[in-house]
Amino acid sequence: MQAVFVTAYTAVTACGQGLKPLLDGLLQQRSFLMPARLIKPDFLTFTGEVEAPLPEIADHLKAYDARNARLALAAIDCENGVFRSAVAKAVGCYGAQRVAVIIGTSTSGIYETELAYQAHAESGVVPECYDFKHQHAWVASADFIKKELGLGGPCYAISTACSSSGKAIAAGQRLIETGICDAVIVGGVDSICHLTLHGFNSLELTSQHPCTPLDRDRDGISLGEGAGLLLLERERRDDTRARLAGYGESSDAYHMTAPHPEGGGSAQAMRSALNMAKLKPEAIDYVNLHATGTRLNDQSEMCAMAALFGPDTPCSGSKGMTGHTLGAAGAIEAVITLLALQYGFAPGTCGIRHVDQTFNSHVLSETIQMPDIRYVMSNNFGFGGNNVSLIFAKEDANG
Amino acid sequence: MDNAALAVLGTGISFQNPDTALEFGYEGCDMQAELLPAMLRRRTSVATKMAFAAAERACRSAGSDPSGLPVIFTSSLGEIAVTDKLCNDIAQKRFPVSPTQFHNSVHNTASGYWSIAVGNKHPAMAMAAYQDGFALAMLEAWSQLHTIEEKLLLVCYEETPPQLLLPGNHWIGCAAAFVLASGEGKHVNAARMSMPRCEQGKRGQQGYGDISPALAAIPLLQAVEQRISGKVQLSPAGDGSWFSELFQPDE
Repeated sequence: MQAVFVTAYTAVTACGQGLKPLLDGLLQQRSFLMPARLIKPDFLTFTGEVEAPLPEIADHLKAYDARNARLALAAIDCENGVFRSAVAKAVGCYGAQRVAVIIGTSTSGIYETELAYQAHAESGVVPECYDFKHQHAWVASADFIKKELGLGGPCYAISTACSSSGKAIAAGQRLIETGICDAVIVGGVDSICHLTLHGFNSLELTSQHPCTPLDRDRDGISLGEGAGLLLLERERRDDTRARLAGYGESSDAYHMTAPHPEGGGSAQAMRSALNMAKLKPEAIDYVNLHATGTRLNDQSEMCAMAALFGPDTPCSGSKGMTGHTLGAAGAIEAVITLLALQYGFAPGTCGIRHVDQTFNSHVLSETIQMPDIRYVMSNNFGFGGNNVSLIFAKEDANG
Repeated sequence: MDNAALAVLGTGISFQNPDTALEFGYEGCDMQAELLPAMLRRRTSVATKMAFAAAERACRSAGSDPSGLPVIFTSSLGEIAVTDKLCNDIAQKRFPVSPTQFHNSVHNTASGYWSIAVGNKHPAMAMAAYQDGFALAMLEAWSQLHTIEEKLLLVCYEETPPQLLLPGNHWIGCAAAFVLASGEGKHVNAARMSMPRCEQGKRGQQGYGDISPALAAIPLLQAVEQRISGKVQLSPAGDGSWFSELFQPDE
């Protein structure tokens, strides 16, 4: 595989807008899950919501105005717009036509559609500002990002539930390797919405507490929202600190919502990623698990982990801090592994009290320093048995 | 001819409405899918049924075992009828929502059921690019077949959208599927297509892709079936339409 460089990355999560609050959250192991506020369902559930006011969509792109687009814009412009500047540099270097956009999302702007249906139910009229194509269609956020940043390359959405944005990162590498483009903005965005809050509750997969992935007493997920974006480039820059070293994708071919009990599909995705990166399992310093916090998901993934890595590879989950951001999880958790690489640590599992003793893996309860960290893996698995595993490698300052 | 061209090994099509199939000259290309288990047939959408029917026809025409092909499913709206129903339930506060409808609303419902029904453990992509979805799925296929895969199944499908979401939109329910392969020197009897390209500023002709996003596959499908060479439009008329060059085996 041709390595592609991660020249910039950004995220907006329940921790706050930007990398700094996310990094602080990881180092302090702080949970940002609180009782649901944006939408208040008639059952108790905790969510990781992006609190601070989100930026306004520019007038000429108002048709795209949706919570998802605002989350994406916040990711582009937070922390003094470092991500936007990096994209501008790439455009200057390769030309706008050579920069593509691939964005993962599970439900896209369905939040706006829910509001429109509600207004229709109450008044018989759909609000004038509602625009399905620009707000809810699965490619809407990708399209918005393309227009907001003035890009001209190929643009599409990937929607494979919770593996969406992990797969977007893999697809971005392929576009660069095949010469279709020279840089790609990859990532994911998803907002809290009625559909997922109620849907996961109907499936009896939602916890009534802040979720506690990998814990012996875990009892379900807490939803989150956010956006994660990475700029992948053909060429490295002086300040580039990471590259995508490999990825693996697979299907369980087992069940629509339940994972394969022994984690056959997830093990296959991880194995493919290792093969592509030409690495042995022991080379991986840290694995960010999908770890949603349901009984079966965590059990299945840890079965695969133990089979592939044995008991020593440090691993943890992040959803006890951010909530499960669904289609954005792959990108946000990729960002977490990139922070781990950049700052030399491996995050603990936020919210964990007692590691499930049936797991034969080195689950990190606490965040640990890891100055020599070189290779990290990030896993995401979605409905339909759709699996992806990514490996990032540290780029030294001297290349 | 472009050595890196993709070989088209098989094609398939299906329509929501059998009369429409007739109008387009595809008699009998309804949405009956043998590979869709009876239990699923009752609770899957028109979108998923059409995708299955086109996919299994393409596999049959290519002589390929469906369990051995990675897949790319593309649709502008995906499970839009299920989504419409769930949004109505939510607006009317009909709780709890159906758990089955909920997991059947994800965009990768069709590709997920396909992988389960045919026992396919290869990667499954589900993507969208509104009306350019077919062209960009072809581009995604191109990039996969020049990096990690040798053969794959591409399925493009669209059901007629609910009027509340897209008033005045009457896209025809249809699905088209292709078995594609890479490899120079192999598949010598198959038609080959060049890398899809977007011609900026060039407005393509109004055509099938303007009637429905899945119908954007028809010009390529017909050129393959009728052994016609030349430039094929892969997307609707727009500011930048997508094209590919098709070559026949003797060229």
